[in-house]
Amino acid sequence: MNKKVIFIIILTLIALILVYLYSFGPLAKTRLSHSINQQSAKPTTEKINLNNQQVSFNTYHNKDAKENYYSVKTPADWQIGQASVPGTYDFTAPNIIARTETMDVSDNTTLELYVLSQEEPRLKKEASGYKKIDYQKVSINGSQAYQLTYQATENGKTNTIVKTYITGADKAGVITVTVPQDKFTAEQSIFTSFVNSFTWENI
Amino acid sequence: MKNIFYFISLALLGFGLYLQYFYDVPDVQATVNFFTSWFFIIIGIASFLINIFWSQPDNKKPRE
Repeated sequence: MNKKVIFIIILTLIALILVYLYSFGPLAKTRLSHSINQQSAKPTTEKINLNNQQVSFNTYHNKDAKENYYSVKTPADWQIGQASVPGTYDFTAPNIIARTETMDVSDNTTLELYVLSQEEPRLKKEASGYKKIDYQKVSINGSQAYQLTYQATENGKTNTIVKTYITGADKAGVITVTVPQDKFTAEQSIFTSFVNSFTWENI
Repeated sequence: MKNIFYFISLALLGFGLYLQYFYDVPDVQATVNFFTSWFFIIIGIASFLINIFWSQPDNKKPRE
């Protein structure tokens, strides 16, 4: 065995250790943050007429995952949180907590079947005081979507949660809006326009 | 014999590249896929290079 071969073996072992650390070890977080596109958190601003009022909206174009580019519009006063998972946005407003994300649905099922057979039972199990209010099929910018509305209790407060699952070419889009039960009607037009703004950008 | 090792090395490398760039991996398997694909790519490249250098002497000394 010559020196070059020994050098290659040592280099290979170092590379394998690094790959292991990037996969399962302490460097895994670095790998995830690298796949978040910094441009995704930079919005473009425009004014939209909502209930005869000019409201400023921010449009976020998420370009984290190839084949799963999407955009959402939020009122300009909504705060965006630090993204920790690629393809995800966390927004907070005085009475609204909203999250958009992408979800993998296996090829051997449909999104509706997945929502009814996997997601709803999971929510029932995990959400304290789960009470289903509504389930409907909707269309969001030409994409078939399934909207589940339910109530859940957190820290003694009852919230109404609207979860919208939007079919996509690769993954499904998921929008979760959490509103205190007593503020639901007052905030409905705002968060509905937010949900309806979801657009796949690579179709 | 050496050609067989070249073929195996390139097959490992090709399989690793396929997993890395062409395989539609479910979200829950993304980490395992990352590790497996890079594992095959590294082993493929390393075995290919070892195959090249294995029979070469370290220093070419002039024959007496």
